[in-house]
Amino acid sequence: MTLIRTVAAVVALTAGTVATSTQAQDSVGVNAALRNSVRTQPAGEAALRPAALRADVRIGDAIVTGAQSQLQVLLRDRTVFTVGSNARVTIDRFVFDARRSAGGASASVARGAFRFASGRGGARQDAVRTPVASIGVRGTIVETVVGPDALAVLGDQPGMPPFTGSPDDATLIVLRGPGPRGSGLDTPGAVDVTGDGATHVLERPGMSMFVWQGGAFGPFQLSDEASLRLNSLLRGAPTANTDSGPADVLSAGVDSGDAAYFGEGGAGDPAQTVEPTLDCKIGLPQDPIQSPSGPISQSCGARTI
Amino acid sequence: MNRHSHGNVRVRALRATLLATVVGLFGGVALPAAAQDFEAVLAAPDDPDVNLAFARNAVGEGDLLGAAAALERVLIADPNRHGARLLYAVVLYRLEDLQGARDQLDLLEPVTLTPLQRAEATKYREKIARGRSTTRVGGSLSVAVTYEEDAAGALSTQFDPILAPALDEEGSSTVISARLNVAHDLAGAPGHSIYGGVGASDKSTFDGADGDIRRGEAELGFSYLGRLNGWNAGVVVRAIELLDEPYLVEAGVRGQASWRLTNATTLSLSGEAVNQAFDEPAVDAAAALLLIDGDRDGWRYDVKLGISHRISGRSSVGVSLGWQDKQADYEPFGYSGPGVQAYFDTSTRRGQYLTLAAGTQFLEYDAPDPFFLGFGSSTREDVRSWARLAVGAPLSAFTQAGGTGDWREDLNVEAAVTYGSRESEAPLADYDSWGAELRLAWRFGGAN
Repeated sequence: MTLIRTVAAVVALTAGTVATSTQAQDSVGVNAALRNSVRTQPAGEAALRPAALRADVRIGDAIVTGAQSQLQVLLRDRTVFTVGSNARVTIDRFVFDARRSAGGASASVARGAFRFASGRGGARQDAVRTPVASIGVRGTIVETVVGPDALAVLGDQPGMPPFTGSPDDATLIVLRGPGPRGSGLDTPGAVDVTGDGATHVLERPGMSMFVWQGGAFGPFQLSDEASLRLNSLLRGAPTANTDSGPADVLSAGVDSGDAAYFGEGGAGDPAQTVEPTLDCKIGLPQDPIQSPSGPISQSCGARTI
Repeated sequence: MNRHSHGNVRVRALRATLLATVVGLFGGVALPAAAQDFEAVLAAPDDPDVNLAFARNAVGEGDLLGAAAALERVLIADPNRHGARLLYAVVLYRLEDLQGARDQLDLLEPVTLTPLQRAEATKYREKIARGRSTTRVGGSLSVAVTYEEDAAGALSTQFDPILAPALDEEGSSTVISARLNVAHDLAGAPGHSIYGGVGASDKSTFDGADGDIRRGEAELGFSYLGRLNGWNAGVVVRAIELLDEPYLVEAGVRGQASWRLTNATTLSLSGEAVNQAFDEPAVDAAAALLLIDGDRDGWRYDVKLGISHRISGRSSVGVSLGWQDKQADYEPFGYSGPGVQAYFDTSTRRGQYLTLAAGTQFLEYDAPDPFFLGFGSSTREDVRSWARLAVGAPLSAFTQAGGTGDWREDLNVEAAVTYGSRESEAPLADYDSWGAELRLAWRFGGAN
C-alpha cells in the first residue's frame, strides 16, 4: 500500500509539472486577505515586491511573509492557501476542470507556517511539498510548519524523541479536519505523509507527523499547547477588547448552521447524542411495526426519542 | 378481506411511501452551488460583509470548509471582529477541528462579547470538552400527550391478542420516555468504542380505550467510526408490559454498518436477531386445551438496507428496504415479508424542523391457523403501514436572535400527525387510525 501511495504521489507531481507548463501565465486566484508584511515574487522574476490585495496569483509565484504576518490566497476552485508567519511558499500547480468536477493544487513550503484547505471537485490531486516530506491531501485542511518554527511549535510535545537533524528542514504536519463526526457535507479528510522512506496516513483531526532529514516521529496527537502556538502563526489574535464588527453575528449557533443540524439522519434521527442508536437504525426512523413496542417506538421518528 | 381489497391496500400503502419519497426528493431540491456568490468573493475578497454573507450561505449548503475560509479572511484582515471569531470557532467545531475551535474560544476569553455571544462561547466550550472526552454520556427525556382515533384497534392489532374482541374506540394517553447512552473510547484503537444504553417508556391512558404500555431496553456493544465507514454490534434485551401485565421479553444481538458513498450519501445495513418469549396466559391455556404444541415464542430476524442523502446542510431524505422473519413454536404464528420506509426532513436556520416519514410492510404467515382463526381459513396476510408528519423547534428558535446559548436550545416542542393501519383477513380486525401528538423533549450531553 505504501508503494502504491508513493507511486501515486510521483504521478501526481509529474502531472503537476505538465500542467504548470501549460498554465503558467493564467491567473489561478487572488490575494484574498493580507496582514502586515507580505511580499511576492512572480514566476521568472528575481525581485520581491509588496503583495497587494485582490492581485492575481499565478503558478510559480512565491510568497514571503514576515513575523506576525499572513496572506490568504483564494484559488478559483475554492482551494485556500493561508501563508502564515515567517514563511516562503511557492504555488506549484493548479488544475481545475469545472465540467468534470476534477482538479487539484499543490504548493511547496520552504519555511514557515502554511495551511491548505481543499477546493471543490470530486477527483482531486492535492499535494504539499516540504524539503523532507510530500503530503498527499485528500479533501481536507492540513497545516504545516517548516524550519525552526516547527520545533518551537512542538515544544515539549509528549513522547517526542531527541531531535538530531537540521532545524531548517524540520517539518510538522497537522491534520485539522473535517473529521468523521463533522456535520457538514465536506468529506472527512486524510493526508498521506511521505518522508524518511515511509508513508504515514493521518485520518483524525489533530493527528500529526514530525519529519526531518533522516527521521520521523508519529503519528501523534498534537498537544493543546502546540496547537495554540501553531494557531498564533496562522491567525492573528485580538488586539482590542471591543468588537470592531458588533453587528456581524447575532448568534453563532444559528449562523454556523449548528442550530439547524439534527444529526446524520436529519430531524428524524434521534441518535445524535451518543453513537450508536438505541432504538433506531442509522439514518432512518424506525419502523414502529417492526418493533414489538409499536406505537411507542413510532415516536422514534421524533427528533429526540 | 378479499384479494381485490388487499390489492387496494397495497396500492395505498405504496402510494403513501412513494409520496414521502417524492416529497423528499422534490421538496428539498438542493440549491445550486452559489457560484455567483463565489464570484462576488473573488471580486472583493477583502469585503467583510461579502465574506460573512458567503459564510452563512455556505453553511446552509453544508460547505463548512468554504465558510471557514471566508471567516479566516475576515479575521486576517481584522482580528478584532470578535463575533466573526466566535462564528469561526463554531464552524471549526462542526468540522470536528475541536482543538482549533477551542484555540479560537481561548482567544475570546479576555475580550468583550455580548451576553448571548458569551453564553454561546461557554456552551461550545462545554461541547468541545465533551467531544474530546474519551467517555461520552448523552440522553433524552420527553413527555408527550397523544390522541389516537382508534386506540383500541391499535392495541388489539399491534399485539395480536386474537382472543380478545375487536374494538374501535378512541383514546388519549401520556407518553413519558427516557434514555441514557454512554460510550467510552478504547485506548490504543482509534475510532473504537464500547457503548451501553438503557431506555424506558411509559404510555398511560387517561381517556378512552385502555392502552397502557411500558417498555424497557438495554444494550451493550462495540462500535467503530472511521473516516468513511462505521459499524456497531452488541447485545440487546427488551421487556414489554401490556395493560400492566408482563407481555414480552426479547433478548438477542443487533448490529449496523454504514458506508459513506459520497460526501452526502450514506448506505447502511442493519440487522437484529432476538429470541422472543411471550407471556400470554390465554393463548397458553387455549393451546393446552386444544392440544397445540407450542405458542408464539421464537426468534425474530430483521435486516434492513437503507440509503440516506443530505440534500443540503439542512435537508435530508432516505429510503430503506427490509425483510422480517418471525418464527414461532406454533407455526401459524410465524410470518415473514418485506418492508419499505422513506423519510424527508428539513429545517430552518433557527432549527424549526419538519419531518415526514412513512413505511409499509407486507407479511405472510407461515401456515393456516385452524385453531385460532378457524378451520378452512386461508393463510393470514397482513399489510401494515404507518406515516408521521411532525413539525417542531427548540424553544430558542422563538427568541429574537434564534439562539440562546442555554437550555432552551436543548428543549424542543413538537407536534405530529400520525397514521397507522393494518389490513388482515377476517376474523382479525382491521386497524385504520389517525392520531396526533404534542411532545416536549429535552436532550442532554452528547452532541448537545
